[in-house]
Amino acid sequence: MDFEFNGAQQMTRELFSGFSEKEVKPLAAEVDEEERFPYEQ
Amino acid sequence: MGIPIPQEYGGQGCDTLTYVLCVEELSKACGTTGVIVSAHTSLCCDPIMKYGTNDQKAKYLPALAAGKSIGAFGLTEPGAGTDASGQQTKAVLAGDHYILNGSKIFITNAGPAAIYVVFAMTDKSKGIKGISAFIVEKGFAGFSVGKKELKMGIRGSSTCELVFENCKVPKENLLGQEGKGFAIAMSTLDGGRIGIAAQALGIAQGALDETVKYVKERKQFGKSLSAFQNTQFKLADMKTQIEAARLLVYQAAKAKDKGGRYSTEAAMAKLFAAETAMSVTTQCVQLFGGYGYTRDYPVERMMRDAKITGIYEGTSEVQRMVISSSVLK
Repeated sequence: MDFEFNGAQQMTRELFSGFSEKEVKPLAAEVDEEERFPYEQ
Repeated sequence: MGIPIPQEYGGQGCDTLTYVLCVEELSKACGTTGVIVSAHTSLCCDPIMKYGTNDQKAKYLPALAAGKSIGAFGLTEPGAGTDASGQQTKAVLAGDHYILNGSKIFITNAGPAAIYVVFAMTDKSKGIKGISAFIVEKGFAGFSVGKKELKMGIRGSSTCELVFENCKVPKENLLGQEGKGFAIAMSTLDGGRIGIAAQALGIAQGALDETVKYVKERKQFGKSLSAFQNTQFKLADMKTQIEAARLLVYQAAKAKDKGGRYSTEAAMAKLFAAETAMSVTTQCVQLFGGYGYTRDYPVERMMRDAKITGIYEGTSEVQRMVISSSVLK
């Protein structure tokens, strides 16, 4: 099976990865600790 | 929040593989965020896209796609988990409305969610063929969100009870036809399992990434942990397991986009990815030693988050039932 990403998939993956690293990761520990739903800031 | 929702309803109109990549990337950093997006997309947006009337789609999808409304899915009851035929929640048609009575438990996104796809018995005598699906808005009279569960992991996601006390649901909020609820629930869960498999995959990859950083930095007996063959072999095994899980998850995503049934592919992806997540995070905590057991490092949280992936949207045992039934047919 071929899982090579097309251009759009590759681009969105990079977008998600950047968002996750920049916006999600810094909050992950406190969201867990405080049992807080991570509404968009 | 609207990755697979068509552009005409304000979504991105992307395929399932792109959606899987999103849940995977989010879950690398935070399992909570992964499941919020997975439940919203797979369990609420998807059935409305697939079974909704044009009016229902126009009414609900734009807000869901924009993330203005969060979605949830209400199937599980205290006495009816995977065995959905034991549904006690009832819906009775009275004029222009269905009247719902009963309760649901363990509902992901309940509370923050504004839109709920809910299942109830419209004809108890017909068993699973008497189940129907409804779109319930948070503000409907007689609907309330009950007790919030305190959980081991994915602690930022809200998991609550739903309570229906003579809840009035407009007739036009019936999703699909009367009696088709069970089929809608099962097909929706097939898609949901791909989302959870992607979450498990992301958690495993996130834990491995953290561990690779740590074993290069941490020194014992005068050398870094990465110089020990035990560490190297563990990293090799984990990397291999994760890649195998990734192939199964992407294969299931491709099978969903091809159309037709993909229950077995989804079940295999979820089973293998969930077991990979638990095994990998446990080994990562071990490689971190005492620090791995503390909240100074994220692998402790990742191990707690991993556990649920083998439980919700069908336990690993249920996935085995699905897979073996296709093997034996």
